[in-house]
Amino acid sequence: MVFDFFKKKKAELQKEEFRIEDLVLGKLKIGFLVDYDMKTYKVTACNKYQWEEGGTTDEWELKAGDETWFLERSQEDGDVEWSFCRKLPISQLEGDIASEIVRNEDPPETVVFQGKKFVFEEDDIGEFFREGSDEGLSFVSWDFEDEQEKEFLTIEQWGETKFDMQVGFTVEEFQFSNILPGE
Amino acid sequence: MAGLFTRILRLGKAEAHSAVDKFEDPIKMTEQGIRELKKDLEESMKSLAQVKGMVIRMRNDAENKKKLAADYESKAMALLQKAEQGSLEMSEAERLATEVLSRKEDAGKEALRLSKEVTSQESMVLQLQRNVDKLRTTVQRYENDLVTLRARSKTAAATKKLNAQIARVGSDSTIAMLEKMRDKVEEDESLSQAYGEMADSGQSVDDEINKALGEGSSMPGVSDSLAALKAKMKLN
Repeated sequence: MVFDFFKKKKAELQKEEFRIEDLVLGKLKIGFLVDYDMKTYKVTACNKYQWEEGGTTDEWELKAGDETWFLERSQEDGDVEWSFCRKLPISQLEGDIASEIVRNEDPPETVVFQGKKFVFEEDDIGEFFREGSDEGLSFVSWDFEDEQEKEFLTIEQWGETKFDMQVGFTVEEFQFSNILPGE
Repeated sequence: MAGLFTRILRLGKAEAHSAVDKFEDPIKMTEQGIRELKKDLEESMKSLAQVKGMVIRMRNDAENKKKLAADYESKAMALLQKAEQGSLEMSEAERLATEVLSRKEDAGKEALRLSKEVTSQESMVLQLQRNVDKLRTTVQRYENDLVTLRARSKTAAATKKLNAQIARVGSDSTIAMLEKMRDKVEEDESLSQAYGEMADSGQSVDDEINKALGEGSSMPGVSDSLAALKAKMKLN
């Protein structure tokens, strides 16, 4: 009985309290809810990227039903940019881009995704830190942009033959609302 | 008698309130009020998060049940196809298909129930969301008011100090002392001028008279006395 009391007290202390001031997009935590485009998303992971050419990217994995999206905040030289993207298999690109990268150590200047052409912009080397981990995973990334400069596409190489692809667009912080703490 | 006692009690109460009012700091009271409102807002947000979370789970469950119902239907069709192809007894296929269709029915009903529940809970979410928004706006408004209140309080304190300084000028202030010193100096100057004038007028009244009569003139009374004396002594 006494032990139960202390156990309960400890559990209460461990339960992290939130402050209203912390309910902002840049401070999202796992379990938080956030609305975007009439849909409520739940934060399911928080990751970080460190770029060799400077800057960092914070990434939040958001889930709504079957959909999984990634909200990213990139910071470099005081500039902050938000983006919203999906992670898709590289096989969805037209042509065998993965083989071309393995062969040439670089992707082609343009890639086509769902009939839309994306042009190469820049490449970088990054380190990925999953959910506060100190151990980073290295990867290479190539950024592409569509001709209207509305959407971006990133190809990531995580080893000899493992590839990922992100397709998304830039967003503004005010587009996200109703941030709520976890249950 | 009872009426008098009530009045005395009321008077006592009023005095006590007045005394407490004097101790109340409007800034601190507003800050405390905002803290309390924020606590209410936090609680409302927690409730909203719980209901929203529940709706999300229910919506996912409803989707899963729909998928399950569709899956059961495909299985029933596959069983009948197998029977048609001859790889399964028709009676066995029909028995299994009936069982699967019954499960499909259950899953479909559950999906429908959950969907209805989601719709009803969603209206609750909207209501809670409205309350949270209202509370958030109220907190924001009072926080803005607090900024103005702080500024007004500072201005009032500065004005009060300045007015008090001005009010003290006539009696014991530094300015009054300086005025007194100026009067004293002026008094000293007047005194010194008066002494100077007195020094200039140092001759006696007799001197003044003689001066007025001229150097050569002599007193007639004295000359006459001298002549009489000489005549008496028979001298020239």
